[in-house]
Amino acid sequence: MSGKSKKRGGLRFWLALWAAKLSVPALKLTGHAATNFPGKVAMKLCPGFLSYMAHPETVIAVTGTNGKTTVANLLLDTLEASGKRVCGNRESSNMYSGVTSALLSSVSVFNKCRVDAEVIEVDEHATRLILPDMDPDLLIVTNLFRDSLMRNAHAEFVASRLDKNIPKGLRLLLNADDLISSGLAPENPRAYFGIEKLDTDVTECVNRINDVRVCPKCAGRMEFEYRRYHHIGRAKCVDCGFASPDYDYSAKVDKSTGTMTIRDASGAGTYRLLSDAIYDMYNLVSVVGALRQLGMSHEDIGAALSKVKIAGIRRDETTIGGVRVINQLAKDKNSIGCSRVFDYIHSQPGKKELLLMMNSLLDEGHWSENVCWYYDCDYEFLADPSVTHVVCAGPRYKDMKLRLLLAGVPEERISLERDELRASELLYMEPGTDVYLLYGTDTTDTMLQVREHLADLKK
Amino acid sequence: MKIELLCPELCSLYGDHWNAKYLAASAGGELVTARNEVPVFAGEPVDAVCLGSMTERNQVFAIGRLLPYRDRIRELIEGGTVFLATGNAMELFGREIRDGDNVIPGLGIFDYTSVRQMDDRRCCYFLGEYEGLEIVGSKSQFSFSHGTEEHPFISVKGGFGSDLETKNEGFHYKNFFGTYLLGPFLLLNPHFTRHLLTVLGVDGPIAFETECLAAYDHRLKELKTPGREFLFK
Ligand SMILES: [Zn+2]
Repeated sequence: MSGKSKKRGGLRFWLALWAAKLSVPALKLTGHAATNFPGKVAMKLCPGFLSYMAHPETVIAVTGTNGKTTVANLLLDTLEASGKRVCGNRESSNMYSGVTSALLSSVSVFNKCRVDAEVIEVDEHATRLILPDMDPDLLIVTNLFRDSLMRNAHAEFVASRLDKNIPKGLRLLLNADDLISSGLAPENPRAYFGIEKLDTDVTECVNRINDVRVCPKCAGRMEFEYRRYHHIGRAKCVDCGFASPDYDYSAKVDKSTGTMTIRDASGAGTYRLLSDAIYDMYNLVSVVGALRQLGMSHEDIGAALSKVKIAGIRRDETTIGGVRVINQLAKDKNSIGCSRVFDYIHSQPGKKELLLMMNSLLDEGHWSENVCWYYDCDYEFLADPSVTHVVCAGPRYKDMKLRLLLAGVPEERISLERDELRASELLYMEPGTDVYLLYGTDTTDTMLQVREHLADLKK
Repeated sequence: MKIELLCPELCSLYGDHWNAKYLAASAGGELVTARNEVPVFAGEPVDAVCLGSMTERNQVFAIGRLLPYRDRIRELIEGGTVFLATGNAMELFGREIRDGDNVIPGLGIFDYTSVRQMDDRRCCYFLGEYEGLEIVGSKSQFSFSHGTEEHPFISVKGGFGSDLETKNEGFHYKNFFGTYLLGPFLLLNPHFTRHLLTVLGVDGPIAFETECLAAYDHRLKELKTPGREFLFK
């Protein structure tokens, strides 16, 4: 058997491995997508399955509130581009069953590991079982923000959970510009990444959510040397001196050349930016930091990254009747995610018109979606005069209108319609004004139908 | 008319701060907050005081900040000043918060105690009634309060109350309203907001009344649909 496994598997493990592997072609034959099901089979037959499975020399886990999918995928792509055989959970969930399903293909029926590296994205709550079972070489925590209230409560709670779940001795790569996640598991070996001062930085918070308002040690006032948004930036407590850690991977951004120079103790490399969005800059520096931790040179990382194409799954545009129509994922129940999107849209040049349909359809079927997150979210960006029209649609359309009014959006700029297709007919669709279709995780299909409907109307 | 938002730097979770903002906007009053950590109410009269959900760590800091003003808070409550404490802010006014062996003394204004279990969070959607007004919202609790029964705020119709055994939610004494319902409680409950305005001696509509009522009616209808679930799993 090649590869490393934490425990030696008995009969139960072998049965689970074979049954789970057999379920993949069986699902395909019956026309089902092999997503999390094989993993569920393996878990059911053999609890702790991942601890018996063989893993390659390099195993990286990525968790955090935002950016973990991008970072994990980028690491997979970059390692692959540098000639490594890789495996990760791109197609399945970031829970135990999804990770297991994804990694099944990395071992043979004899539990022989067939890849050089595994990179897995892990839900913060799923770290409890996945991390000890897989025993990764490195855990990247991208950041910790407020997320869905009902699932995550608050960021400090998620941090306390991670503190408990991170195994002793696991090497960490942390975001020095995030004072919530940078203090995780203080006994563990660690390296920090961060981005040096940018010309767009501020010192005071312009966002509703700022979860490092006071010092976590003494409740003293936190003074920010620079701040990107929310609590992300470099800060120090004026009372007790508690401060952001220093960077081991320090990124200096040059927007004029669209590059970032990343410096560490043994060298520096210059990398092409993924996009002009700050969160993508963090994604890039964390990826480079991780690969440096694995011992790759800046030259090799640069060469591999230059071969990687960044998938534009979250923002996608088309032209309908001479109007630029942009589909933008704005994750429902995630106030930070939506605030980032609203900020991005308001800062774009020209006039914009929006169709808001980021409703949780799943919640709708059972209860009534909790709208607390609307009040944590920076709808105020949409009061910008360049946002000429906002159409609210879906089950929470009335809540959206109220929130927009409270944000200072004039009533004449707001339209209201429950049905998403009929709502799209209310868009002015004027050439010269960009149209943004904002959809949530449950409304991807709705967005596609709306886009088709808009195209039909213009035929 | 002065509405004080208490400890905004500590109690900033879930959009609860909108309660003070919305009450001030509806009452045509001024929204005030502490300077140098000294509450406004310590030095001058205010008409209403709102404070909202916070992290468990910040509960300790908030109690520390308010403790020097305990007698003043008691005096204001006895005198009929409106207090609205949402989410776990209600716990600050009780005798203590127990978290395993750790006992955090509260302000001791009221006699209830709260018991926290960080590994057993309970969430629910909520439907209830206060003086004939239907109350809607949601809750996320690491802790439950015991001993609130004598002065209940809302009777529970869907979801759970201040603890899992009771059919009552929150604590109501004079014009002190404490409830585990979190977030923009007043925006979610326009009829109750009107009630508070009456208490404050203000006549007239609440801010964006039409839209607020429309959203409320829609939510109420959803929560009253047969087969609705209230417990979040
Ligand atoms: Zn401090």
